[in-house]
Amino acid sequence: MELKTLARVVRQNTDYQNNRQKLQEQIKTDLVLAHADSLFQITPELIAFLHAWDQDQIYVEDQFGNPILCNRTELLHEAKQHYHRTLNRWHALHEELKHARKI
Amino acid sequence: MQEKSKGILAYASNTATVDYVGIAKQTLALASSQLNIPYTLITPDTPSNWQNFRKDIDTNQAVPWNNFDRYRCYEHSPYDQTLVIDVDYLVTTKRLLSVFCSGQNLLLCHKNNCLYEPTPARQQLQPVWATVFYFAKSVQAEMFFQLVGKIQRNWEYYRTFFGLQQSQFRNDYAFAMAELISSGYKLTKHTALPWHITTVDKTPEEIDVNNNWIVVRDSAGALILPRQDLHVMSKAWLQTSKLQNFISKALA
Repeated sequence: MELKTLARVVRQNTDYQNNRQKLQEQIKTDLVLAHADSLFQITPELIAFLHAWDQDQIYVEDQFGNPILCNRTELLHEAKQHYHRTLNRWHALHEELKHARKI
Repeated sequence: MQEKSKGILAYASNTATVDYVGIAKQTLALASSQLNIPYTLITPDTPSNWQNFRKDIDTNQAVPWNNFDRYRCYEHSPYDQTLVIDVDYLVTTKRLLSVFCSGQNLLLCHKNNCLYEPTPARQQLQPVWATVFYFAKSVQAEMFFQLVGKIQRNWEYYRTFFGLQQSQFRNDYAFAMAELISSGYKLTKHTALPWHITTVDKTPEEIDVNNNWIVVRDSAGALILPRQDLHVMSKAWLQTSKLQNFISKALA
């Protein structure tokens, strides 16, 4: 491979990795959900925890380190919806990004 | 119970080289349309007694800048819940609406991702960026901004106390000091916005926006970002018709 071609490929890959990282950072922050007059970071762990718990009223740590009294079923429902929507969006954007790399 | 009023507040003070008011009218219209809340623009009617300079990224020179009295946002705001943004902050998403549902009295930005250069370190202070912040009318917020005012008036003392080498007053530093003091000298996440701001810290040739993406182009190439709010430092770019084109596309 010629040096010029190699440099172009490396630059393309670097750009792709940068863009991919910025997309990942953005999606992480998109996973913040407003609920019960507070904000929560939605993670698979939180969803699994809410799913496994057997009582309806539960204290959950919010984004600011406060324990917030939540209705478990309501939070679980909203968290699953929000997670699903955000991850679907991530997947769609990620596919677009791969395409953009080839242009 | 009467619903709390919500709105955006911004400050603009023209200089010899930058029409901040002209920029503000466009960027605040964008923010107001995106978030569907009203805005208030504060423009000083008398020249400030203070003089300050910032490094202009377009010319790489020090240029005059009036960044004083930001702490007065508490008394200036006509809203119960206020989002304060810099006039060079382009709001292209509805994300900031969630601060109004956060239940917090004060939220400050702790993280700034610059696209080109590493974000400068802040010596002994936890970084705070006064580019965008939120407060609700409350004792906590009122005390915080009174403290920022006190720091501004006694800048030499506070900058020496915190070991800052930079002599120029910056709201970022004053906010960081006030946050540290008001939290009992403990690092806290109680007042941290749960996301970063993204800063375009070079003069772009073009910034394009569509439903999903923002593309920032310069002479070396293009960065493709998911659609998000953007802090554009280049006043040269903001004073061209490219800003209006960007806003038209963002609102399309």
